[in-house]
Amino acid sequence: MSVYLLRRFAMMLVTFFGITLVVFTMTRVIPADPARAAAGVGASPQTVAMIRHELGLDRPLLTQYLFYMRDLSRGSLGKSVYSRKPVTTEVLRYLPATIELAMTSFLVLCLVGIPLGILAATHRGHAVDVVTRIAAVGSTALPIFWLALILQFIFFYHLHWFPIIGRSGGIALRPEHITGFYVFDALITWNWPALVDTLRHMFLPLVTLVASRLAVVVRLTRVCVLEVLSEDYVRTARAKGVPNSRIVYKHVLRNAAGPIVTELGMQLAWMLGGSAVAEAIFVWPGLAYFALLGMASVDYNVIMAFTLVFALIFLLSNLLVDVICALLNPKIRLE
Amino acid sequence: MKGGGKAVLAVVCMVSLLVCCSIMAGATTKANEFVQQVANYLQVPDAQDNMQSAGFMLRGTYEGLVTYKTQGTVELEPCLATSWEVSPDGLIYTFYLRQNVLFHDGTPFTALAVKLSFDRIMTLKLGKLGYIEGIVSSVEVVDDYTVRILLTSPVASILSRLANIPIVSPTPILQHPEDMAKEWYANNMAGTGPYMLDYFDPPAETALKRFDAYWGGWEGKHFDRISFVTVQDQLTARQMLLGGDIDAVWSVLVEDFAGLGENPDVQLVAGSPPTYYTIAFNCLKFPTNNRRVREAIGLALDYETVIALIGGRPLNDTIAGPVAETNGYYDGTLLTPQYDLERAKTLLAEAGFPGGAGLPPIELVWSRMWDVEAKTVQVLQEGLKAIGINAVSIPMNFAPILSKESTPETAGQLCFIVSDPSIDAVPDQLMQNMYHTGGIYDFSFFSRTPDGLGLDALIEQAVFKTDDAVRLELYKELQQLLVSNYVAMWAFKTVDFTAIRSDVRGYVLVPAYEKYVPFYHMWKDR
Repeated sequence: MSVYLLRRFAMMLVTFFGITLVVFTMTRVIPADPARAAAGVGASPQTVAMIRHELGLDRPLLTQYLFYMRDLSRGSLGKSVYSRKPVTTEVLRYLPATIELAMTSFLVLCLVGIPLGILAATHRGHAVDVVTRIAAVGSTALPIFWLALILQFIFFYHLHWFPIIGRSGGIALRPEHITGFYVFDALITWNWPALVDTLRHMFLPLVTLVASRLAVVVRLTRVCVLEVLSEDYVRTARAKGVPNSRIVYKHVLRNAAGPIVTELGMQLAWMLGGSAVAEAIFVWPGLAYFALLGMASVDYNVIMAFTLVFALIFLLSNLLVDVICALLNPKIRLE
Repeated sequence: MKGGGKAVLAVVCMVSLLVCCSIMAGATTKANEFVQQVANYLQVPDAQDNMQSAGFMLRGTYEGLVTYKTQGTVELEPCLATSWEVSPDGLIYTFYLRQNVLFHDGTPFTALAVKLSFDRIMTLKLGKLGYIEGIVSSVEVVDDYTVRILLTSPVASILSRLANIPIVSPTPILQHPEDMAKEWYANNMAGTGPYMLDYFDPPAETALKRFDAYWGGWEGKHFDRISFVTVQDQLTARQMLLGGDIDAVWSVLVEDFAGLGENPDVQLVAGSPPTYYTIAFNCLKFPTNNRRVREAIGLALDYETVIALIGGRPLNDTIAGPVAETNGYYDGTLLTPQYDLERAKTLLAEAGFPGGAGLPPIELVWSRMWDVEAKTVQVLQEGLKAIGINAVSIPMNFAPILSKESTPETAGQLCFIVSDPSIDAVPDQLMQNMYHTGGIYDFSFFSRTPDGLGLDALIEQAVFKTDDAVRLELYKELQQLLVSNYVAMWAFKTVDFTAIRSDVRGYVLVPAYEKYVPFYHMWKDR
């Protein structure tokens, strides 16, 4: 296992290095001058030149890349062209919101998707199976931005049940900053108004994200469980009088878990990186939203930071999924 | 199954609980707070730098020596200066400053603050330098409440330029001499305005609170807090306005007029002055480097169809030339643009491109911010197609447009420019910004062509002339030069609408500051 992990880690570094090279080059070849954009209306050419020099944009491309990698090796993601603040600081400020939304959505996806998939599999051919599959596929087929707007329209505009944007209802309702994860911070400080407020704000973006991925989890769980349900040992267990719930959760699910876990790993990575639409529409102050603002401003370092962070997340989640699968199924050898 | 069922049940219970809590919570803005939508990323603005998105905050927190009146005109009035004198040669302006004024950090306002403010802009070459560069040579302190501004040459528009120079507290500058408080002002605000920074956490929450020691006092009704919420999506912003979560939404879409106008909770306020839409030709790039081709393209836009699409007359209309017709320097002999496909085809043939043969696709760059541009692009593309020209639509955000249009090689053949030419009594800033070499909106690059080589000199002459009659002739000559060479399509003027909650009073657009709102004069009728 340790040899395997070392080898995977080395491959990850190579992949990461390749990503930095490709993304760096792509952002720099866009015919844009972020210094001019940052200087704004009415700025003199001297001001623009000064900003360009300050940000190192007047250096040759290769030099700029080497300087960037040098800074990256020291943990610095450069300075935002637009806000002139360290991007590392901004990333650390916005990342908890993305992680919180993604992890909560992922948890709900598991809590809802897997049981629904099992329900559909154990009631194959019945109304429950049909309705579950139609609902799941239907929700995934809806464009995510449309779903988000409809949820806002119904639950905010008409019903006024949930807030339409943001992560909290105001600075007074925010929990004390400990980790930056509002739910966690509210729980450990026993701040129930803050917890409720955070969950209220999280509800609509969460539903949007979960609904958009539900079908994948439901259908895969259903297929995997159905496959295992037809095995001889399941029939034997039933014949021996083992309760159905024990059969499903102790025997069937564990054997069906491999592909499900692999897919859930991908779903988590998607939720972390693919929440841009939800964050944009609900103004959820996460990293994807910050990146969208950076893209609108041609902010090179923000674009790079966003890409690198999520590339890292995808690489790590791939690795994690492989390791978990091996742990779940001793038959799998990591080579 | 039981485990799965329990999980689903748990989720349902939690959602129900949240709904109950939500029903009990309210969601409308407070009576003493004004919440407005902003579409772009906000950052704490260095007031003396040019950060477009932060302008909403700046007007409430900083002031200049003079300011535009808030009654919707372009007249100037005293602000931090109570009066001024001008030397006979027009080179020295002596300002007598208002007394008993404090900055938000408690520093008294004196002539030193004015001098350091100007020195800071000129030394650090901050964004506001564009208003005074080459015009203000130095600032001198005469005594605590008298300051002298020396000019390099007499300039007719100097006061309107000074209205755009915010005075900042000198204390951070003196405490941070190494960078003249550049880092400090990137994270803090210290002006003399009625509102000061309360908290800053974009994109969700940024707010100003009232500055109790404001020199203008707090008699009458005023807001205690001004909040800014970043909402890029117009549909979401609309829902928030109707739901009472925000009090104002800028630039209402034409399609929303009827719906919002009929809603008793919302009032539509027309923007003043009108916004002017110009489509600049890249005069250095093929094929728009050909004058006949430019004229042909100008004839291919069905102006009447666009006007009908954007709400019709009288609020919208065509324009003739770069200067507003209400401006005293307007050349009334200029003709409004025409739509004539046959004439356009003839011109293309004369230029050597019959039916558009041999012409590459042309790039039409426009801003996503403006619905008028989106509609114009569609109509223009159809017209160009009819004469054999393929126009590729390139929608972009503002910042990338500035970047793309900064050089003739990267710029598209056509690019929209939005301006408010009627806000300036003298059109010299308009001419410098849009047609002078290096101007921030010089997307035509005409001054670098053989026909436009004298343009820069002509503009500079007009800016520095103090004789009104001579200046008038110079500006007319400029307009004729630009129009006869088809440097741009001067297309439309439109009135933008802002939607605000019906209970908000005292709302007046200050035309010289575009859509920035004078919060101090507003309140809610609740």
